[in-house]
Amino acid sequence: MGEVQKIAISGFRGVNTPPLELDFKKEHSFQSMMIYGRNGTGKSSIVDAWEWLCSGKIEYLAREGAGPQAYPHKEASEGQTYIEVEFTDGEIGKIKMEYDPNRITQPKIKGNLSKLRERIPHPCHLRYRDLTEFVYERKAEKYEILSRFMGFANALNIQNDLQTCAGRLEQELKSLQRDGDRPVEEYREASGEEPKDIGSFIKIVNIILNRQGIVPVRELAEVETSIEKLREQVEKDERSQKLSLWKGIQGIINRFYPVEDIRSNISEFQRDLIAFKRDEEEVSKLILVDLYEKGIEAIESLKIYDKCPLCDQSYKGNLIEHIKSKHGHLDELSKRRNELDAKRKKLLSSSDEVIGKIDFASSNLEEKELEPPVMQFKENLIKVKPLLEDCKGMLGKKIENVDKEFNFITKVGTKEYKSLLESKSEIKEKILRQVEILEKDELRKSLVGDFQRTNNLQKSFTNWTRLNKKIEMLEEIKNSYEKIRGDYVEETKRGVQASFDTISSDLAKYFKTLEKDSEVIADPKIKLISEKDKAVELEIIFGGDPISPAYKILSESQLNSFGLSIFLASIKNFNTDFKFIILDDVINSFDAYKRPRVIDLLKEYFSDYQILLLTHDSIWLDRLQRSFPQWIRKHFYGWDYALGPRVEPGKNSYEQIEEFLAKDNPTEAGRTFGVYLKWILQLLCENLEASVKYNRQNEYTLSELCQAFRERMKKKLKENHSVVKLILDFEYDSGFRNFCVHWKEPETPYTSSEIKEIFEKWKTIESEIECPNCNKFIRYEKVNGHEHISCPCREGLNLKSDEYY
Amino acid sequence: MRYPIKWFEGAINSGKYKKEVIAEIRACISEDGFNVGKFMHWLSVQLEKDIGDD
Repeated sequence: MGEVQKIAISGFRGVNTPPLELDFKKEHSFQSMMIYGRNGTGKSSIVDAWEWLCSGKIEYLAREGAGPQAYPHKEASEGQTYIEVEFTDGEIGKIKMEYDPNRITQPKIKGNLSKLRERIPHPCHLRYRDLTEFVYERKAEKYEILSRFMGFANALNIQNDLQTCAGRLEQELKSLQRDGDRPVEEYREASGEEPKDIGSFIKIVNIILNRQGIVPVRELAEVETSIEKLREQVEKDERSQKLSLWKGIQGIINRFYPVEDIRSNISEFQRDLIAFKRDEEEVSKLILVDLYEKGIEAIESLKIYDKCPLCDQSYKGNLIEHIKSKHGHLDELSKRRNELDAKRKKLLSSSDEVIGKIDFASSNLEEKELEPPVMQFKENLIKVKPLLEDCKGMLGKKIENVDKEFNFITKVGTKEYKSLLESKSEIKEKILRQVEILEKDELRKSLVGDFQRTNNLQKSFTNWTRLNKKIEMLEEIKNSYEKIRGDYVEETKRGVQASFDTISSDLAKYFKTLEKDSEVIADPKIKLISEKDKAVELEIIFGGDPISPAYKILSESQLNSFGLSIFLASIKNFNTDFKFIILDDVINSFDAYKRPRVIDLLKEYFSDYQILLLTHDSIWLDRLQRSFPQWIRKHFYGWDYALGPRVEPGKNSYEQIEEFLAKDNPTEAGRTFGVYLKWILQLLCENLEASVKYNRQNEYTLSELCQAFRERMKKKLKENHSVVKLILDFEYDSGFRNFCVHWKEPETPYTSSEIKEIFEKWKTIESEIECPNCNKFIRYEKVNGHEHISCPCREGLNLKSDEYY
Repeated sequence: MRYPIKWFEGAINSGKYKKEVIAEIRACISEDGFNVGKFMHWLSVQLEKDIGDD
């Protein structure tokens, strides 16, 4: 498969119109690209758009509850939100995916997208956040992350959904089993025993029918007719009819009471709600609690206390204390919110139960001729129900969405609700009196009692039978479902394990490149925990012994190496037809000294890949550009709400310094050169094993570093070496000495020509100590008693050779 | 298991599972995952249908 020719993104996330165009063509070929830009300049919108193209969604946004409606730029109108990619492969050609505001989950597609997706079974983009998640998450989450790394996202989504559904099936079964308790209870009340089967039911019915002189039944279908005969007998006598009516009402009332009085709880909730919502602005900040927690974690882990980890802005004062105090305040608010939410849930459940009782009583009283006080009771039910339903509707919302203006107290403070709660004794006594008067006649009492008993028996037996049948059927479906789900999970696990095995040798190679100085750590492995549906552990050989989980001994940076190795090994093994990778700020996860190894890794194993690399680390970009001079460079120098990223050709430090000098801006030229020189001298001191004057702050000045570099070079190469002469000339130059003292000051006492002179001298030195073949600087090595000052490849540069003297 | 839909299609034809259940699970699967709501609706129709048939 060929390369990516061009990516155009329009109206998407942080990119507005005109479209952001990334053209990979350079001279006559298609190259890799590096984009440098500070955080917040819109770089990640490129990865988001790419993920949308490849999978139809943006997973990390989906997990935060942000769906496709969050994709378009707020200013983009219909037809302006899209990603368009051109490939050199004629079979794929050009693909455009356009957001459709009328069907947000079904974007408009032009081109052979399915062919592209077929070629990318494994995700080819990796963000900094993916690696940090990998480091911090637990076993189950890690399984998910790794599975997604390896192209199992869809399989895993299905597995998660199947698990959710299994829970719903279990709930449904329990709910049916709970429903089954009521008919059993009603049957027991009517017969004194529990329902068993049709035979025992008919036997009980026949005892009653016999008592009332009605022909016994032989099968279930005849029961209905016999009940009708009993009804006729009851209806023949007006007083029996009345007794039947009152006993029916008695049953309904006995089931309605006791009913919960929710008024005091609702008043308390209303009071707390108003207090909680008094400061709307603070409540809206609750969303930041997690961010502050992660921020504290990140600062403590990175040990950078004076710079915001999100925006890189400096902070005067103790940043961690500042965040902790903000977090503490919100944490308190969060606790209050949770307490209030617990009250909301309890009230929701209570109001639901009361409404259920009202529904039952209302529907059963509907066609009955009623007398006071039952008549008022029924009218009260009708008036109270919609008010309680209003409360229930509001209580069903998240606490943030409950309307603070909604007056719960008025809804439950009606005289009808009060009357319902207080009329229990009056109603019950009235019914009892009526029943006692009418039951004085024993024959009537027996007839009506038997009629109601048979009726209840038949209803409860029918309900019991229906529920049992439902339960049986649900169990059958559930068992079958579980078998399918179990086999599916096993198959997915087998697939994931097979993928782990496939990538294992590359994983080990890449990890070794990134962790080459950790001699005691080797052979990283990913192991499934077979007894769990979703759990994975990382294993590492430490000092010859397998350690699992590897977290016991690996540092955060080593875990990042593990994560990046897994991602790259998966790409290598699974995306064999699509050699394109996007790395979004992944370098941020590594210590400064390890960052060049990522370059080594890309150079050694991914030289035939097209890479789109996004970073906000300018120094690392310099290294990258030295190693891959043919890559296209872009600089996102700012972001504008209306336009999106502001783009210019990317410049390395040299080019930036030259530009500042051309504009006669010695302050910026000096500052950029100072930062660059400090970094390069540190690197050279490390490479040459130079001794730098110790200080407790671990901060070194330019002159200290330069002095250490000069001394080491002089010691190993002698004073008559041509490069040493250049260094001595550079260091003793009065311009450089002046620069060392003043380069950090905003008002610099030097001119552009002075900076230019020392800059040119340094460039000459650098051209002598950087290998033209491997693009690396000289280093000191002692092999078999022989000392070398050469580059790592030892082919392009050997400073010990005679030509330098 | 990079292609789960294929696995479910194979499972339908395997004869290993209750046919209507595996067929319904397959019908509820798309690129977006497994539609739990759709499956639960099918289940409630099945339960009512069975009682109705009775």
